[in-house]
Amino acid sequence: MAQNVISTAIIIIASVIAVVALINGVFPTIYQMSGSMTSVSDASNDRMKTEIKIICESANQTSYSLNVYVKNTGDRKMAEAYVGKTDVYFGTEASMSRCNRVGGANPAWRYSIMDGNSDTNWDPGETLNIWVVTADHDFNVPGQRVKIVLYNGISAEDTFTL
Amino acid sequence: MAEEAISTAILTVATIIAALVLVNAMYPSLYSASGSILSMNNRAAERIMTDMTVLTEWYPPGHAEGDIALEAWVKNTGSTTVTETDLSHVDLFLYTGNGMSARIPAADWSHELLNGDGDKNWDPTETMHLLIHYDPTGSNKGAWRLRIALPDGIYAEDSFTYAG
Repeated sequence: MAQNVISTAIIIIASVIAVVALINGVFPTIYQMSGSMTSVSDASNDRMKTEIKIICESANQTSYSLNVYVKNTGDRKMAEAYVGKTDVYFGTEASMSRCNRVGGANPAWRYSIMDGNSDTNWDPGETLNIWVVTADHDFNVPGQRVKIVLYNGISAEDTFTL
Repeated sequence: MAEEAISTAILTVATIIAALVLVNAMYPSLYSASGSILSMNNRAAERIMTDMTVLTEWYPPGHAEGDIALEAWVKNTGSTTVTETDLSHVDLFLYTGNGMSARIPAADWSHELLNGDGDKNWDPTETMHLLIHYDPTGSNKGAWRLRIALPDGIYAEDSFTYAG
């Protein structure tokens, strides 16, 4: 009887130790996996809620510049820091080049928020005016093309003939 | 008998713990993704139901120098109401020929709702009357276009002839 009790007790203790060891071994991995999943999920949600649309372009052949008006049609408010990470590509259907921020070599771009609520965020419904200046681009050539890529990879592009 | 009961209990507890950990790890992500999908789905549905038509444009032939005083009438032909807040995010563009176009700043245009129910929302079937101040100096005569864009990116446009 006593041997039975002792052996049962030993088996219970061994089992508990085994379970604790298993949890200790597996839990950090699961915890880390959970963190990764949350992070990927956040990025994915961010992309799902982000949407933009180019609603108009206008060129000024005299100053070799172009205004591109882009609407935030998504559900995501974009902070100034993120708007600054936008990539702007401009050219024709045959070839496009990436624009630098104003201060760098042409083509270069800068932005302003049109008739917004006076903060520096690009809120849903607000229009961003992207001003692109080129060295000597001929805007009268049919098939002009502009592509705007946001910090999270969401993009909008438009081909137009002025 | 006792050993079987104990090992079954331990396995059951371990299974429950594992299940809880898994649910804890996945549920927030799934919940959040579901919210995003729902919210963007609502926006897409709204866009599908949004439509408008520019009915006509007119400007006084003898308009003042530096101000075309263009009037336009736009009908809400969709089935969604454009709220007063959304109306403050409407964009107007004038294509004035030769590849030139201009965005009309909010301060340079005004609107009133016709055939309305008295509120400040632009309801379906209601007509919006726009008064646009634009300096046509230097612009060419000929075919011009007026484009109106709503906050959800839906736009409508119409051509008219500017004769000076």
